[in-house]
Amino acid sequence: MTGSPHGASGPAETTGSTGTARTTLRSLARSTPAVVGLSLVALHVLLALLAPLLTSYSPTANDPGSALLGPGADHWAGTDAYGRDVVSRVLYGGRYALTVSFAATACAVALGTVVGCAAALKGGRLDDALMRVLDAILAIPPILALLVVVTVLGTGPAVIVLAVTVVYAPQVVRVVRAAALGVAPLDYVTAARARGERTVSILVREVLPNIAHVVSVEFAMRASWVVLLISSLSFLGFGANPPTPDWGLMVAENRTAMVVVPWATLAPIIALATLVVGLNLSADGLSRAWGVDRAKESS
Amino acid sequence: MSGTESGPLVRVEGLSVAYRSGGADVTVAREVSFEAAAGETVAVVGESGSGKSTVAGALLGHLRHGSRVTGGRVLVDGKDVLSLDRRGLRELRTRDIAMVGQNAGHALTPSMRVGAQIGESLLSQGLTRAQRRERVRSLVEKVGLPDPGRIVRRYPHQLSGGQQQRVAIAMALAARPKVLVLDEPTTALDVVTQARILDLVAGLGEEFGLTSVLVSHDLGVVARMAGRVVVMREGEVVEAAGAAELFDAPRHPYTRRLLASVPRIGDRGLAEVAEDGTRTVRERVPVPDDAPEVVSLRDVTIDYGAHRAVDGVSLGLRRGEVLALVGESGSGKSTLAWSLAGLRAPSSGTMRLLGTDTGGGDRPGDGNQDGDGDLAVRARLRPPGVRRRVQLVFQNADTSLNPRRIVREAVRRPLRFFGLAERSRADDRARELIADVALDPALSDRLPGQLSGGQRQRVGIARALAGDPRVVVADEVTTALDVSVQAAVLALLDDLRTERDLAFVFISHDLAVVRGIADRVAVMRDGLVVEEGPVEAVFSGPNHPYTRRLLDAVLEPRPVGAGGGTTAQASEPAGETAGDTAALPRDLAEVPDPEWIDLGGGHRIRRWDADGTGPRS
Repeated sequence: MTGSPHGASGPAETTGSTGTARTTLRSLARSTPAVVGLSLVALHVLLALLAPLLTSYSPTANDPGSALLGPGADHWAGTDAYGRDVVSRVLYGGRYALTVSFAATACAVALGTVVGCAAALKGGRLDDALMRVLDAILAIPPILALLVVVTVLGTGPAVIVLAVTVVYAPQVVRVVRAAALGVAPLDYVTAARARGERTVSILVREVLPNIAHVVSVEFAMRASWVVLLISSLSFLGFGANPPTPDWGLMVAENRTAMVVVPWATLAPIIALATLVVGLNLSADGLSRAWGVDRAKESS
Repeated sequence: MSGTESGPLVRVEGLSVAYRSGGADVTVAREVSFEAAAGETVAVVGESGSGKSTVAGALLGHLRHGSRVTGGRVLVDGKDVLSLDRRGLRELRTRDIAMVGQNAGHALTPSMRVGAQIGESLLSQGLTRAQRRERVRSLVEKVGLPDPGRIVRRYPHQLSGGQQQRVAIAMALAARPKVLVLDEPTTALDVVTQARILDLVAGLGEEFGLTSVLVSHDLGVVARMAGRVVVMREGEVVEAAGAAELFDAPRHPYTRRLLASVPRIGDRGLAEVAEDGTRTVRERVPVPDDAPEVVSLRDVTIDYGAHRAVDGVSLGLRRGEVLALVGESGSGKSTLAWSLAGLRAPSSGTMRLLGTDTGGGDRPGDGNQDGDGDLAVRARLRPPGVRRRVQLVFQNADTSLNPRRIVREAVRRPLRFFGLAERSRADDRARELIADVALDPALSDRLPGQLSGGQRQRVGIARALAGDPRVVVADEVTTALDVSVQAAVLALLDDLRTERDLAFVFISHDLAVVRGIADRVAVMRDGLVVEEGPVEAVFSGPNHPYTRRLLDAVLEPRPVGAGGGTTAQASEPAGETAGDTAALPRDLAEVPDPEWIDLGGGHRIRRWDADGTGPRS
């Protein structure tokens, strides 16, 4: 997209957005890790959506009569101590994990993007002050900050979304600010400033479209960490409340019976691992397809 | 100049290079052949996309990513460069051939002292540390850097552009190469620095007996440096001849057209070049004497922290007038212009937009009842009616348009923003404006990346026109364009000026362009205006010594046709240097103004110190 004299005169090119989409797809399809990653994520989304069709068992109803069963025709991965079907709980657990982490990531990325762009565009003292505050926040380990928020506000999905936003937004701010700083001095932004446009409309019209790829990669990468973090919280007992089908919670509940029914622990672990790896690989593939240098952006 | 050894040192035979794009081979260079004898300087000239840089890279065995050689050979000192392996290439590049690129700022490692970087090029020679230090020192002296003992300990960002380029030259010479490839070595520099660097390279070339291959788009530079010239166009060599022969009697029509497109400092208007290369100088439409003033600047001072970029500038601009701001980089000309466009408020002084009461256009609520507007504030604080009257066109067409939006959107936005068109009409109006800048309205659905540099620059102009401005600030708008495109864009600006009665603040370091388009010239140096006057008066002198130096630094290819001037002609008022205030009319020296010498007709020169450099204190 630089000023190549040959590319500039290409009549066969259609509009740029479809062109970009096509090159992105081609580049993604060429990379095996990206294909694997995207397939894993797609599979998880599909399973979560189709959960009610795939299993007839309720994920929360106790059935003491069929507790601690091994894998069989009725229960493919067996049941747990309360007689709940493991497959059913894993499927519904995917719903929970995907919704909560998607919401949390979206909040963190949205907030981080707005603040990051504003800092880059406004610059000056606001930028300096903000970055020092963020540095201070970043010095706190995420899990500790999360625990503080959860302890104060109690548990539940809404609190977790809030907590993750607080913890991860500063990191997103740094990345987005760096990307926006690369766009801010360009002449088309200057032109908008000379026109006297408001910062918000400069942000939406001129800056955001040009850092959309950075934000997307940031989203995918951040999402994989958020999934892991939320499960860790549940495992520690600060996340989802029983009997919510949550992977972290399932591991915590069933680890004592691991010798008796290993699948009750292994299934959620496998689900969690594949989702995290899938998100990670997708983020990697996307960043490569779009030429986003994550190491550079976060510096 | 004369080749003492037998056989050419550099030989390119039928070189073809192609790269793959969208499943098809695109040829960048086709059957390119030329040679350079030992000690000779050969220039490869052409416009962007002519493949000249590809050829330069091939001389060092370097191809851009994705390109490959489809035929031909490159011989440097008898070695077939393209068949060398990694090790051979490294040897070639350390011993036989070195390159100086366009932007030395990018070629130097920012975190490494320049002395160490030059020393790195010496590592292969197996010298002791002390010997290396001695060699670095002598190289730094050789390339004319001041205070060698200290400058080697500096980092690249602590040097000026010219000094960085000198360091790059020192690095290239460190390995004592036989061949030096210069890829647009002075394009990023201003005229005065350019002249010094070219003198340096020419001197060193002679001293070391270097064979040089100079790649450039600037025919003036080529005329100054080269013994032989190879003209390229779209990957093919169209003409190759001795420099004198080529500039006196170009044979190929393309060469003729290219030569004719170069603005000359002797032109009294814009040159127009026909398809066959004949050139006519367009009559300049004079600004009527009763033209009202539209912008007035009084004692404008602009500071960047402790640094004073503009120091008390007073200038006026009349309707339909082109005022050129001229000066080296760092003279404050761009800062002044950007401040005028509302991007930075001056620290003191007044800037006013005068008489906006032309009827029509101004709607109530614009907030300028008295017809005046204060420009000494940032754009946000100006009332919209004033804001849209001053518009900016940028230097770099690559970055002046949002790459994610179609170009019509770029023109539509100011129309909507300033409330100059209804939502339903805005698209049509944008198309009209795009047609007004002589661009096919069908292109308005394209993204900027799908347009050429010249087309993008036209869109930038259309965007500026969308606000229906009275003053357009044009910041080096033609600098990044090829000469033929530059001529067309300049002609467009001149047409717009007469059609719409626009006033232009035209910033340029190219004095030949300024002569063609400007009515008045203000020469700036270190934030001060050192000379101001009608274009004819400034170009015929007498001048401030600094203006003189700028004029003398102008490089031009030899004259085409009759009446054209050479560089020597520019300095025609002989002996016009610092010492001769005596050459100025006697009685003027008695005028009480302690700061300015008034030469009449609006031409005034700031008094200067006896050494001819600093302003009079």
